[in-house]
Amino acid sequence: MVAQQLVNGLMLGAIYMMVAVSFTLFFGCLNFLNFSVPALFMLGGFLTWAFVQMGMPWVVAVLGALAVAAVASLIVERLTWRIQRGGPPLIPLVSSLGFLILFENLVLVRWGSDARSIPSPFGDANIRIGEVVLGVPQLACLVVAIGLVFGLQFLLARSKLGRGIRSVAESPETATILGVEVNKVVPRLFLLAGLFCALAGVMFSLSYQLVSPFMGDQVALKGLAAMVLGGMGSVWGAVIGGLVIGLIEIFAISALSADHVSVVVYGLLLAVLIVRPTGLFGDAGLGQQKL
Amino acid sequence: MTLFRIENLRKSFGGLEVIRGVSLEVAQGQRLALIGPNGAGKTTVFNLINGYYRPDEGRILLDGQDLVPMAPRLRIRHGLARSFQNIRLIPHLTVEENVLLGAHIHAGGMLAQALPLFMGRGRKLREQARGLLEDAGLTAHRGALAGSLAYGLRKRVEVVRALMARPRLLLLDEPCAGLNTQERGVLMEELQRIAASGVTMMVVEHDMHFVGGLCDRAIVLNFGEKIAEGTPAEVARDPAVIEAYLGHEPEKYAHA
Amino acid sequence: MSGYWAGILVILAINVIAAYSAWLPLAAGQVNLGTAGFMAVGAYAGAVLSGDYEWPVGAAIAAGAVASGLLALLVGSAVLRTRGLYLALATLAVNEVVRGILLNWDAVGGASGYPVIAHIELLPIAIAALCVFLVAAWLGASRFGMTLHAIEQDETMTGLFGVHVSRVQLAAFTIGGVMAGLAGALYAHHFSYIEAQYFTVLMSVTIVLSVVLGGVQTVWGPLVGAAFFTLLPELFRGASNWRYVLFAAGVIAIMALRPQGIVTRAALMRLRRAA
Repeated sequence: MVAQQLVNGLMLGAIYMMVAVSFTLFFGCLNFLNFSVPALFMLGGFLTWAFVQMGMPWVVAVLGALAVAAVASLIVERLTWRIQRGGPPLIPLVSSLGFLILFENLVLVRWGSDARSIPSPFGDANIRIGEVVLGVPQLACLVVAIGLVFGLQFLLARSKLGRGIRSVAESPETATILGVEVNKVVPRLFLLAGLFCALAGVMFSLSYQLVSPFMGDQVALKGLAAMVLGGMGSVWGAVIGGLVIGLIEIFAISALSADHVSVVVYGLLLAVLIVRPTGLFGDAGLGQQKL
Repeated sequence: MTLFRIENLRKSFGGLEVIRGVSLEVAQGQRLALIGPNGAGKTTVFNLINGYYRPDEGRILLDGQDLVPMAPRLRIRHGLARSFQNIRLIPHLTVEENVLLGAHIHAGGMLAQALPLFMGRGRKLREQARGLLEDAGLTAHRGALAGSLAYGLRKRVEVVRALMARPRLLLLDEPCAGLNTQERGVLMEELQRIAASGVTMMVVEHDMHFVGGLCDRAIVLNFGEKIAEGTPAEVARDPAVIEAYLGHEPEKYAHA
Repeated sequence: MSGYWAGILVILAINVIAAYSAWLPLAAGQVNLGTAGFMAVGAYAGAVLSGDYEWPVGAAIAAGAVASGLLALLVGSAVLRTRGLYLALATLAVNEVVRGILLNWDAVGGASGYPVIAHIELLPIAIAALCVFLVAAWLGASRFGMTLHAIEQDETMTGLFGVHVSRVQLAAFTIGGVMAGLAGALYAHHFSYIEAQYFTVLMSVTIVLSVVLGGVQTVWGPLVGAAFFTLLPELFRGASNWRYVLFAAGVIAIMALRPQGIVTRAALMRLRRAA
């Protein structure tokens, strides 16, 4: 029983981890609390359903949903960070909240607010190891998510784009002086981080087979909690935070009830913010006003 | 009588020692210039006095009271006010309101502060602000938004704002930067007038002509150390100072 | 007045109060993404007192406002030590914790909601909104209001002039909490039924967005923002689904072109000179 919950928690945590990584990329590199992340998550998940409904094959539907989310993320870049950087960090935050409401309600206008069930391309496939049942899609998600985070780390550490991103994270002005084309690097960062959470949306819809225009809100809030717990700006912090929040959620459901999950998770978030706002692996300087 | 004294001030950032044992004294009523090449640590000294940064070592004594353990917001109550190198007015408040911010320590407790600005104690402060603005020749701009003013005018508003605190020591960080010759003249007259009223000043400034006209003493910093001290005219002739500015070898000066 | 317009005015008045509750901290550079949570506290506290404890409606509503203010004081003093974006996250968490607790609390109906017996009509709600506006205008014209704007613009510099920045921010946040509680208690006693699901983070977000859209520099901004948000669907009748789309597009456009919002201090001064 405990082993089963451990596995379920980790598989759910993989989704939170992806969202938390997305948040933490925006925050750690650009000091931007990007609230369009829940909407990009939803676009990934919901549009997969919508495109399948239109009769597209699975792979095409997923790729199409990711493409739309990627374009959406680039639009967010153009209308928030590109023109508002250097000012108070609250301004892009507020704009991104505008995008959250915009994207969610555009989907709502077209498809309505009902939750839709999405069939699984994997059927009911699952694997049994002793007492523990592993859903194939969930397991695939966990593996893919962890693989992607390693890929991302490798990209940040080794590639030219990674070096560019890290220098922008230090200071956009210094990066410009060093010859980094900020207006090329930052859209790619938006693309990368946007795809991360959109893919999390796809994974969520395939694993849990339910989509709605507001599916991103609760998941992304937990992703935020995961980011804060791990330490804002730290990718590995987001990974640990995501998995921990997933585990806490599953164990809270069995120990208390599903209704108590939000009290436990957000209570923990509040406690971390009060007691140790830098989280487990965070950088104390981020998010505070610079002198 | 010594009003202000710094003893053996030290500050490092990430292993790099930026201020290396600076000591200085300012007598009551004196105008001391702090000069030196870019990166010499002048603004850092101001920021240490102000409490922006905490020194690694040393004492900062205003009227015998050590400021180092004191929270930055409490220092103004002991008579320390400043203007900033890059103007820091609130652009969407009026000139008068910006100036009133300078008198915050005289505005009373939370309840008095919740009254509209034209009532109670605020009324007296407003009259005082208008008086100072008039003395500075800024009455015409009183109701304008600070953000709409020309650069030179904003610099002068910053000085008036600092005066509203009725400071015993006024720190001016590059008051001339970005001003044209005529604006410098106006500012100089104004600061001379303020100095004549008995306000002690410390000024960071590059314009030696301005320093010569305003200050009676100068201290030269280079790489975080004091390299010369004297009247502005004396330090301007000091070989060590010339070398610091021009980067020449000392031997060459010996022959010059 | 027709019932239709009375209904719209009630919503407008409540939205205006909620807008001022978000405006006070915003003017000092703090985003409160938990306004709906504070409204829920006011709504439930007021409703329980007027229902189960049979308090007079006015006293119950006032107590609801105070309860929300106390929560704001508590949360604010714990969290305001950490500034900037952390506060946005913390208030968001408060919103969800409050909602979670109410959803699981059987004494107040849990997930099935709580019926409110006492009822108030438009007039007291409108008077309350007017009072909140007057309080906001009063504070806006005071040194306290001036200090808020200074903190928003340049916290460090303001501190050097002797302003106790975190105390001023805590005061703004707490007064905002009282106003949010008032809005919630009024809502509960007009609509006769409350449920925790209603007070979502999304609601908190739209309140903040409407204030930012209106502009935080002057006391008129929240009024304009709340009116814009409330009346927009009436202008586009038959297309009410587009309401949030248009609103969000408006916010994005305003923030891109003119991040100070619709009403700025400079614009007001130009108007006054022209008049």
